[in-house]
Amino acid sequence: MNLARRAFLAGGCAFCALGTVACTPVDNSGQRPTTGIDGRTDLSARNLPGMRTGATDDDDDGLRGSVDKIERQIKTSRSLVRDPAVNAYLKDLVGRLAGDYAPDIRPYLLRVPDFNAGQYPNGMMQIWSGLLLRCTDEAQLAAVLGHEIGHYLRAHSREQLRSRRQMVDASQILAMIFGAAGAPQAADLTSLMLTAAFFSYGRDQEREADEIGIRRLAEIGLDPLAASGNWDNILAEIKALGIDPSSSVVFATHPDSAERASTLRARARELPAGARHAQEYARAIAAIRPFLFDDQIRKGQHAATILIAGRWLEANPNDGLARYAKGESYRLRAKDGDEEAAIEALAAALEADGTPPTAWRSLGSIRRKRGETAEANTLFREYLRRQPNAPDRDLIRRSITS
Amino acid sequence: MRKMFRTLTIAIAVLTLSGCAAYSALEPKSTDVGQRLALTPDRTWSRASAQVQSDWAEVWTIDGPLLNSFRVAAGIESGKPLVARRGEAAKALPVFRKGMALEDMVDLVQSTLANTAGAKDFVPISVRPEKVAGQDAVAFEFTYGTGTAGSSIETDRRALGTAFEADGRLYVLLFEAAEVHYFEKLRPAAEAIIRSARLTGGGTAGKS
Amino acid sequence: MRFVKGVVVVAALMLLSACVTQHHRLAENLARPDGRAPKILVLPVDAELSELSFGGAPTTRQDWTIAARDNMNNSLRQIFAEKTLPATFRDVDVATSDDQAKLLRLHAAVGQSIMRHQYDGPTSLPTKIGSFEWSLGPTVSVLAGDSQADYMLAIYVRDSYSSASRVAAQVIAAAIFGVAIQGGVQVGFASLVDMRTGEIVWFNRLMRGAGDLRTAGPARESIEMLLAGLPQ
Repeated sequence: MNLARRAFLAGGCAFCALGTVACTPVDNSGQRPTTGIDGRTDLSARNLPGMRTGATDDDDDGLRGSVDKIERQIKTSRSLVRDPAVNAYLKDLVGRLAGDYAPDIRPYLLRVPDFNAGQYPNGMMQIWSGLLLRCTDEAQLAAVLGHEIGHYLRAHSREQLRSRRQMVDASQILAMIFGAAGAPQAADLTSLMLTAAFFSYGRDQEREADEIGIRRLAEIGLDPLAASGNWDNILAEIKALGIDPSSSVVFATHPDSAERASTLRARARELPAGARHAQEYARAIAAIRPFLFDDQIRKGQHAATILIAGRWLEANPNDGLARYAKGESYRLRAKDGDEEAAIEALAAALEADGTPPTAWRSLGSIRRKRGETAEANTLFREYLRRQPNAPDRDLIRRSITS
Repeated sequence: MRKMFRTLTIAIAVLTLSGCAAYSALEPKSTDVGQRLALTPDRTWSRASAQVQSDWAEVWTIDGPLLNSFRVAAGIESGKPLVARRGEAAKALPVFRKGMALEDMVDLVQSTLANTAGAKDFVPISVRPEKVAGQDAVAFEFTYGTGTAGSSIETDRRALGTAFEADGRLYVLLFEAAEVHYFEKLRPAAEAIIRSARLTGGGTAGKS
Repeated sequence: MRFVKGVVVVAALMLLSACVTQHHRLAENLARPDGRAPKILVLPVDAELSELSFGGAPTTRQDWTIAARDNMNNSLRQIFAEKTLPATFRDVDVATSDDQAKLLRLHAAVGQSIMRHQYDGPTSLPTKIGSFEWSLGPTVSVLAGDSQADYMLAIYVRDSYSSASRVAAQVIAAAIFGVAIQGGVQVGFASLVDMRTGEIVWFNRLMRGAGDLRTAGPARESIEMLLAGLPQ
């Protein structure tokens, strides 16, 4: 059991790709929707099928039933992010991107610190919180969501879907009959398979979805260059972690990712330039940003966190949360030279805006370790002053007096 | 994916055919962990065999790991993760550093759960100083979730435990259970094990 | 596809060694402190049916699933009516609050754990031998909602059927291994929860290789098997 899980994690699901589960929409006429990029006309000018209610064949029908159930369960999931502001923002952005399809697509923000989004055939769109942390402006997020909507519009991949579903169901039966004897997570084969299945699109389908996504980006006035920028960011993250890209699920199933990035870059230059909406984006996700960084730090992938925090700091050097995340990651990684880098970043964080109280504690820990007790105590006191109900207050108080 | 599935199936088939038990009874008496730590449970637990898990030095359960488990890591060296993993999967695991602050050990435990058990959405309840096995330790308690949202095996969990350093090595005792009912039901049993912890002297002096 | 064959072979082995149903019961009678007839909240059957392809890989069939759910839910209502048991049937399996959702998730985890660890098998637990102690805890009452139910009955079934090509494979399997695989594997459980204490007072496991839930007769038969030994 654990072996299996390991093999999968080694694949790097943590920082996956733009291509996710996007499935086949079904329309009442029994024909595939004709929307899309054919003839390069505006999406909005195409012949769009209306709301889809029925199923056209057994395969779609079978999956839709399972997916509807997933959606029902997601509504009361512990992982569902319920912050009204960020949900309203995502709904609006998806609505702008989907155009006439807006009523069909229902976005759900899930607290999962990995880079992912997925569009299901019944209209449910899952957006993982790790994606929001990795985007520093609206254009980047819209590039990913637009790509997903692209898969949805193009009625992609019945074949992949079929083989995927077999995996999923076989795993359910397995788990049911024999049981996963190991850790609790090992029981989660179904979702594991479902997640793994996120990464198996055909080359042409990815291109089609890329094209739809980038066109929608331009059509709603956002910068189409954000699409290729996302690829660059993911590659940089994988490189920073020292993981062999060929061992990553996403790159194993997307051997042409470099080519896609360059195609997207070239395509963006043909399209009208647009806005990035960095400030609007930062404002929209402000309420949840602390936990986005917290979850990322908790993953222990410090090189990736340092990189991500660095991107936020490029946009706003006075971003206290990003400064803290950077410093904290250096501190926790604790390799040669990291302590100095941590001190520098954390000291800067104390002067910046929106810095969490934990930053004082973290710098205090380093000072204490270096034997700089007076400085450490001052920092610990400031931590407790800023967060009197800190869960670790007794521990910190004790280290001040000892 | 297919390969992994096959491995899994074969593993289960072997387990079934060999008649080997995945769990054995762990009696309420002093139990040695890695010749470094002695733990004395106050009741019988089911001990997971290496066929079931090889991550932690020990995994014990009463009602099955979906509902509760007591996990032990003993004598972890500086630079090593809490759980045994190989290859690329090991790279992503956070490691223990000699001299680590007690509060950072809690992050290490959570980070390990995040990377090995799909744990997420941690909410701290308490982080307190405590003496365990005669050492300055940190006692922690937090809630979290596991499983993919929308799947039928998503669970709400709660954990308590302790971590400390002795002779430059890390020791972690972790109890985690379904948040509803099962955590409180077995809290006394978990606390009894933690109270019983004794260091047995690092593999040499400890042999008696 | 080899892995799938492995699954089927192992499943067949399990089936040969196991009884069709096996239940655990803590109470012979369902009682209420005031002596009145107890009220049972019946959740809709959680069923999924799939088709086995040649290799044995199951594919969910929604049409079959819907037919099976309808058949089983109807059978449940009939049986309760015939036995004149006071019951409230809930139509949807959706939780109406986060607290309810939490308990339904716990119930799923407990059901899986019983299937895995209570019965004899490779993953049975020494701590579960000779006793049947499973509970959702007293907060289970939030699941009762307005129904004021004393007990909650939940049924879970997964079943699979052969496609035409699969039938050919069975013939071959029978010829080579001397093992007749009827079709798919019907696995399920029924669980009765005391809504005051949260205790699972009765639990029945069903595992069999026959019985077509897509048709009313056999669906009723499966429900009867699942309800066999239900305390009254």
